[in-house]
Amino acid sequence: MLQGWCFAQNWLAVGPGIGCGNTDYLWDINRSEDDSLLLIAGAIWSDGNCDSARVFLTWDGHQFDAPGGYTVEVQGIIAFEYQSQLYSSGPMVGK
Amino acid sequence: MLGGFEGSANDYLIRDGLLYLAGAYIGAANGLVCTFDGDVLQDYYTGLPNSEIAMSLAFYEDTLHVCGGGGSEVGEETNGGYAKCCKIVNGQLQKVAQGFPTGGFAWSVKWFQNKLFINGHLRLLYSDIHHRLYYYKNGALHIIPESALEIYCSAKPPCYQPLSRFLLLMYGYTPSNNPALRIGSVLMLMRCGILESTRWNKVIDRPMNSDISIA
Repeated sequence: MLQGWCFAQNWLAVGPGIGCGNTDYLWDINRSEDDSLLLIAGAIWSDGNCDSARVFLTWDGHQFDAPGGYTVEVQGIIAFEYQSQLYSSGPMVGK
Repeated sequence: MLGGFEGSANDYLIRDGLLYLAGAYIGAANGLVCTFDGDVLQDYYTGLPNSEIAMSLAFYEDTLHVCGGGGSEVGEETNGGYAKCCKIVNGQLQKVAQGFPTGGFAWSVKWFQNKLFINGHLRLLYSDIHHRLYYYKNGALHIIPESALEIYCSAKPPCYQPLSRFLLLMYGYTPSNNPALRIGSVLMLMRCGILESTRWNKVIDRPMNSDISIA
């Protein structure tokens, strides 16, 4: 349950849904520099498929993408773009 | 991989084209704060061995403020107020007003409407009472009354978890621990960004009577 008037209107769902476990968190979101993408960091699973976990996703308004290709070891804490480069940081292991 | 970067960053900000990163054992010196200009990674505050972790950064009055679980310079119990949230001036820590002692945790520091808000579970120096939300203005720390926060945080434990730094800062409440909200939590945070253009008093004066469940 969420309380707060700012969420009372204009709610939109994001994509097909993310998350599968009880401990998966979304830690950070930011806009890309050109406002075309939402950058998402966390311990993220898509469509309940825990085998394809990510620490960094982008959302273009229609679909998710995983540009880093990282498989989560723990999670991404922050996601941002700086000088046209996408960054995510957190305790993670690349694959 | 950002060249030469070690550790895990918990927060960032970009000011005058320079990237600031806060975390634990980051940068070449394994410190709390470092900067990156696109080519060179530089240490900004290296901390000391008893420093723990930096969680959040904000510029306020042209000075970088950092908060987290450490930042102490002295080993005594109170650390003289040099803990949890400090300014960084010329590579050295300075207290925010009387400062914060050890104990508790500061999750987030954000500038909002000419005030610097500090969120977490922490107490002022020489105080035994922990509060969740402070703001700093005109050289003094002020407390947001718990009664105001309770409108948005019905004493749920997640209030102290860093799932959404912005929500924690604004409300002391995080949605992501609720399974019903997990799917929508990404956009929830984005929607909350509209509060940056609203007034704090307007927000806390408008309790919502009905719960929202997003599935």
